Amino acid sequence: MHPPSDTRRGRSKGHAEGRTAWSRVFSSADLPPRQRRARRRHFLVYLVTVLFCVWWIRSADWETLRDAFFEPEIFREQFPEVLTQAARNTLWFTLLGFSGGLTLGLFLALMRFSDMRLYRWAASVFVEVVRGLPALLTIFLVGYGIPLAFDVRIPGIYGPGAFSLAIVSSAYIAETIRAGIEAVPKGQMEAARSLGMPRGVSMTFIVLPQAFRIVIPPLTNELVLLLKDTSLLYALGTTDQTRELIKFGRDEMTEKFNVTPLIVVGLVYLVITLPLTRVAAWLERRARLSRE
Amino acid sequence: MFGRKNLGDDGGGSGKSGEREKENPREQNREAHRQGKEDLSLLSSDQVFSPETSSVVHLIELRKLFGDLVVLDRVNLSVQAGEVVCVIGASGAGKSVLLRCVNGLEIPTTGSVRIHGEDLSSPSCDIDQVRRRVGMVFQQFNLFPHLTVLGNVAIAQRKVLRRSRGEAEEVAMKVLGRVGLAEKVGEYPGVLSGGQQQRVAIARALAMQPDIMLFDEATSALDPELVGEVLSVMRDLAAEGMTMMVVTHEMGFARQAADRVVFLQGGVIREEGPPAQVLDAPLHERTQQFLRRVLSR
Repeated sequence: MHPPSDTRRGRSKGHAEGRTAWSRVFSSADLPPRQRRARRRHFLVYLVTVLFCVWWIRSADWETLRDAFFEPEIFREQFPEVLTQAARNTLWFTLLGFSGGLTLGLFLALMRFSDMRLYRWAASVFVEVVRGLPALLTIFLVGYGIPLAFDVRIPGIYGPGAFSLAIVSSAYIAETIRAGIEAVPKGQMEAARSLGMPRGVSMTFIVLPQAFRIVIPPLTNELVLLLKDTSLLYALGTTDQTRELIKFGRDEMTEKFNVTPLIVVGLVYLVITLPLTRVAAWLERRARLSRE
Repeated sequence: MFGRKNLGDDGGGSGKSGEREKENPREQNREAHRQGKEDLSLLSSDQVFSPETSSVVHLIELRKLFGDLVVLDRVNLSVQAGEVVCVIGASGAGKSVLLRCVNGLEIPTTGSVRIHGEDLSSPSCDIDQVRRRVGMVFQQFNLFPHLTVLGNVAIAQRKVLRRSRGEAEEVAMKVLGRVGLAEKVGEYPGVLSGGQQQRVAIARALAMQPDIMLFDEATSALDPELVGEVLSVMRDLAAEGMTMMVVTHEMGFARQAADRVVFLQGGVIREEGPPAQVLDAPLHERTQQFLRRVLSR
């Protein structure tokens, strides 16, 4: 009769000791009951997640994976071409495409505020069509269609690619800028007009500077999207001169029978995009603070 | 040519109905100038109004519809040079729309708006040209937040009057000094109090050397303790002979500074006359009701 009760007492004593050690680590003893319960629940969730991850990672075939995806020899071989050629081309395409898209997008956005119905109509048709089509299709249509239709060659080695990217991005940028213009209070235009400033002058010096301040964060995101869309330019055919990152990675991959080049390319993309998105987030935060 | 409702009786406060025909309104107006409005220091010489100038603003049979809603109905009103006209009435009476018709921010459905005799609806009228001479102050200030106080006051001078930067800023400094904000020139509007912002907005309009100033509930968005500083700037302007149309709920201001008070109700001018008459001895029942409500607050 007695021994079991002893053991029970002993066990409960051990349990209590464990609990004190426990609460010392997590210092939940001095917390109110509800938070203590939440603490315990969180701990359980973390524990299960970590266990699952460990199991998952251990179950992967790292040997094979490393051979296929991370061959140090091949990794080294990608440099410096991946930077001096592929990344350089990607950045050029992005830069040219974005400048073109920004210019065209600004015009489209302003057309949507025109007092001439034809302009408004034309701009919205263009924007809706381009936004409604997959970027790949637009690039294809613009890159091949325009030279065929008008018997012109878009000049420059970056010309055709940059131009079709500009068309694609202009539609999205136009919508972004339009939203920015609409976000500027109506009173701003009225105040400018009431001082005798003509519509165009009011737009240029009063509304647009404020609108651009509002749309800088979304425009940065637009830039990142465009950077990734350069990968679609393979549709226009590339030479060694104009190979951008993805095309470069794919070529290397077929040549080496190994996925490592794509990993390298992916890392290069991240090196470019991560700082950009961080900057966008920072700008957004700053814009929000200045408005408050 | 002044129309039936033209009232030049701003000098004497004769206390008669607004329908009274005047023998010679110009003469009356000149009287007003002589009596209390000799100090024109704020205004440059080209703004000293010669008595020969006829009405600055002339509204004829003005009607404004928003869809089926009649906002203004057959409004006739003219404002003489140097006159201060306060427009009062409940919200929704059409006061703001009336004022916005004067500088073309709203386009009347029928009827005409004449500024110095020029019809705003005529195809040959350059509205930007007219607006240079018509300053407007808004309820929400509408300062340009991306420009400094100096930039706010200078930009229209530079882009519209083609003044050089130096010249525009010199004028800006002068008008900002007038409204008591000379030391705030480098600040952005966002850091100023509402009263200061509104004074910058007044300076911004004054920098264009307008012939007439429109005030659209200029103090309604202000905290009560900031109303005074703006009203005092407006009173100074009135005392210096600026032609003003003031939409306001400040009956004290109307009583002190106005030459004429116009009571608007349901888009119709119900009553107009010197403040002593309209505010203290209103003839119309609607006016009495409105004033009871406003003054009992």
